[in-house]
Amino acid sequence: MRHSVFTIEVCARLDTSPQLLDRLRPIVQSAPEHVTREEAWRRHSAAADVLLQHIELIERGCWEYFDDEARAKWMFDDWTRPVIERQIPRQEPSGAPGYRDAGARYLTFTMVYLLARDSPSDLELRRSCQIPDQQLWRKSTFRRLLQAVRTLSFGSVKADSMYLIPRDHDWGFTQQDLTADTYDYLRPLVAD
Amino acid sequence: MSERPLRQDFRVDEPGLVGARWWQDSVIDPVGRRHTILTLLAVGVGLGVAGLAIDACEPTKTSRLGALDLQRKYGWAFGAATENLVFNGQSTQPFDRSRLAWMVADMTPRVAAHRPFYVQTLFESPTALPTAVSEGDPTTIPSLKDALQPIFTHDIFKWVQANVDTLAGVTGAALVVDLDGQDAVAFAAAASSRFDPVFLFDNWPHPHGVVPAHLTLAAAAYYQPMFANAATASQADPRPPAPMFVLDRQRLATYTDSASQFDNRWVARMPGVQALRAMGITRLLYVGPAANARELDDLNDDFVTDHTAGISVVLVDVTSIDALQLKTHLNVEYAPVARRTLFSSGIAGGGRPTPAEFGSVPVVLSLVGGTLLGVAWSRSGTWNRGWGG
Repeated sequence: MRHSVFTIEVCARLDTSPQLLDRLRPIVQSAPEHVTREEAWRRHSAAADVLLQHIELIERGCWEYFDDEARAKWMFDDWTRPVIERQIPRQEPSGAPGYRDAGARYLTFTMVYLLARDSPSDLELRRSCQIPDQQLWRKSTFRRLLQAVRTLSFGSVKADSMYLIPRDHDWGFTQQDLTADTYDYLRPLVAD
Repeated sequence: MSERPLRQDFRVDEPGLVGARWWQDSVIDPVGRRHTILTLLAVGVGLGVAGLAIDACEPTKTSRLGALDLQRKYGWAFGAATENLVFNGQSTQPFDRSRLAWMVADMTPRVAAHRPFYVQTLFESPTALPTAVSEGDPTTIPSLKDALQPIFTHDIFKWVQANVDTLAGVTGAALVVDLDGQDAVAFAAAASSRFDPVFLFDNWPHPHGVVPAHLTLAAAAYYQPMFANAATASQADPRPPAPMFVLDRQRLATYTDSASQFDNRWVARMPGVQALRAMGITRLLYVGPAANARELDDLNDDFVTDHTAGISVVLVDVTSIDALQLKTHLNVEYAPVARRTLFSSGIAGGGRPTPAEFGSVPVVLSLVGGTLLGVAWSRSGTWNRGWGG
């Protein structure tokens, strides 16, 4: 079987909208070890719904789609590395912004899929990902891709992952964290 | 099929990160929906179309595309349809060619926790059918299943038979077998009664291949019944066998001439530290072809990370170690040192680099519709006149 990979990661303000973290966390945390395809779809669809409802809070993001075999598997491994290898970005809490500390805090939420290439879901995603260069980093593009997530059939998903950074409010990214080269891939999103 | 086919294999739930990963074994494979005209290989970030930039002044254009992707689409001998593979050490034993259709299944790891790391690419090649025909190939590419001849490697098989119990006696040890492909398969076959083979072969054979993957595949064809039998026999054993990661030491072979070689090289994809720990692995026995044969460059970053995290590494030499000395040798730890190469970062904890154009081949594309005309190194096909100069 040949594969494709699709990933979407968003970065949103945490300090001004703590409810986003509170709504995403249980979707990730409550998932059991064994799930049906229907349950998997519900979970991913729910996460996409939450992000769509808070799209205005999303400041940065990244998405990828590849359908050459070697890169698909490689990229899937790479994107799921934080979960597999417990790569936790912060080693200590960043704390909540203080009285005179206006420093913003951020969260990231990531969804990764290894799909059966040329399956109906893959073809649909491929179509959704055909984005002109000038629109790659628009919120409307992310809206479109999140909507595509809601149409995925998990009969075509070989493997998937979702993860939320942080789990707890006082472990959010600071602005300084996000200026590191590591996060260059998170592009500022342009409102439509 | 299970009612709950998706199973979680990794989970993290800590203040700084919460997440999980799921796998399912049974996925619908939609064969036959392929297009005959080259479509975009990638869309989005790092778009693979950068090399396909069109110059309207020329009727054709050269570019580079992924070797494996091209083989899957146009056939294993893409660009060399009339050329044959050469097999050394052919077996004269009876050979059931129809069994090749079961190769992917027969070579699957027996232990469920090992399966996510299984790379079945090579074993898919005998029965894979191309979905398009390249204009550069004058004839249809025959099935690899019909071209394959089984081979065997007796010496390595005997060495393993004599020593496998000693290797299996090392607590918490996994094997990393990094020998020439046919030897690695023979090793795995002989050790399959005590270890669970996890094959990582990530390429296809090609008549001009830099990596002689056809020899690896030929050895797999020879030993396939043995792997299938090991899987059946192990069902009675309640203790899961330790994993044995199997690599082809030729995977990074030198690629010098794009006009005559097909770059079917690949890099190892070993499990990370957490995955190894989850399997109960505390020691890696790295099986090489000679004394002090250190890990290949693409394993250096992994081994440095593993070693730093407390997973010890021992080098095992299959050619010069006397069987009686093996036990003593297994207590000698090897400390991998970060080194900077084309395939390793040289930084402890660094990410592995991959050279530009690795695993790709030069091709000629028509500017009208982007149709692929053939391999640029092939001298057949009318397209060659348009771009060569």
